[in-house]
Amino acid sequence: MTKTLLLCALGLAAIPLAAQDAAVVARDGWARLPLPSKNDTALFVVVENHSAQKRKIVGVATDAAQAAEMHEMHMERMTMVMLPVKDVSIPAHGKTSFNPDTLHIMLFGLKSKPNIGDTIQVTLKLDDGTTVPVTATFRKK
Amino acid sequence: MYRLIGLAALALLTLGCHRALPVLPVGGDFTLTDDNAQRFELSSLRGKAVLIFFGYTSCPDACPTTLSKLSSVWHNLGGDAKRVKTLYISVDPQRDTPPVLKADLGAFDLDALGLTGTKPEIDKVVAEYGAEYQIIPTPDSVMKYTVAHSTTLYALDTAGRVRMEFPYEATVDQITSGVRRVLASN
Repeated sequence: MTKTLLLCALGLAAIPLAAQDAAVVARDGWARLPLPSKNDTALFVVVENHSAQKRKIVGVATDAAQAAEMHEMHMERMTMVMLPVKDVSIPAHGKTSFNPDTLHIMLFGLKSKPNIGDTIQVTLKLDDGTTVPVTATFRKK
Repeated sequence: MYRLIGLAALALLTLGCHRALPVLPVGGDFTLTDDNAQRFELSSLRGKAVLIFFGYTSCPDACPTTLSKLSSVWHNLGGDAKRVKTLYISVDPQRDTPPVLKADLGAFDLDALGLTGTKPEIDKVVAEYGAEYQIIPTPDSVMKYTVAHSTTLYALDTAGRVRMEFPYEATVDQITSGVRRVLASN
């Protein structure tokens, strides 16, 4: 019994703190391959909130670009409007999708020119001070 | 609500597929600057069907989505593709110089020409086609400004007359069959 408890304790210690508390997780991240003249692009991802508390994404950070912002796209009649947003809500026990035609994360000034299949790491900052790692793969569309 | 209107327009496109295409009360000839920095006249494309849409190359979502869709249309047209030209008219002449347009359009596999011009020249074409755009300052963003723009795709027959308009939601198959109808409409 003591041996079992010891093994459990050792196992828990081996799991990073962020993973133990991962009430909010990101999946299916992808980024559009930037156009030839651009170092900017859009990143898409699904963010799931497994907690009973509504959360907000209040910022995005990455070392791979000079800046990252959350932008929302919506249609007014037949006109596409795209604007930066300060925060994005994730419902309790729900998810928010950054998808083409709705929300995306803009990456400005990529520090290297990516190829299809390359990955990029970004970090979502939540309103409770925690962070969510995102890995996105570059693809054409 | 407006998305519903777009879907209704799509339904009408499908329902009306066996009727003769009307000449729509928009459009007209124009002169702009192409992505080789040469003056371009729409009338030089007589004999080809022409697809026109308005956008800007810094657009991260709607414009690359439309260009990807039009690339698929171009491939679906098979032998008819050589009778179709796409014109991508920038509503962001400050950033979209001819070399920028040429480089970025080169990422899409279709026969397309990027067009720009002075603001008055672009505004005239936008008005002729019933399109719209608005520069929106975004001082807190790295972009500094974004451009809201209409997403309608205009299909012109070989005589340069607008015969169909496609909403943003139109699928590759709907645009492909529409272009075939336009090619057959003269």
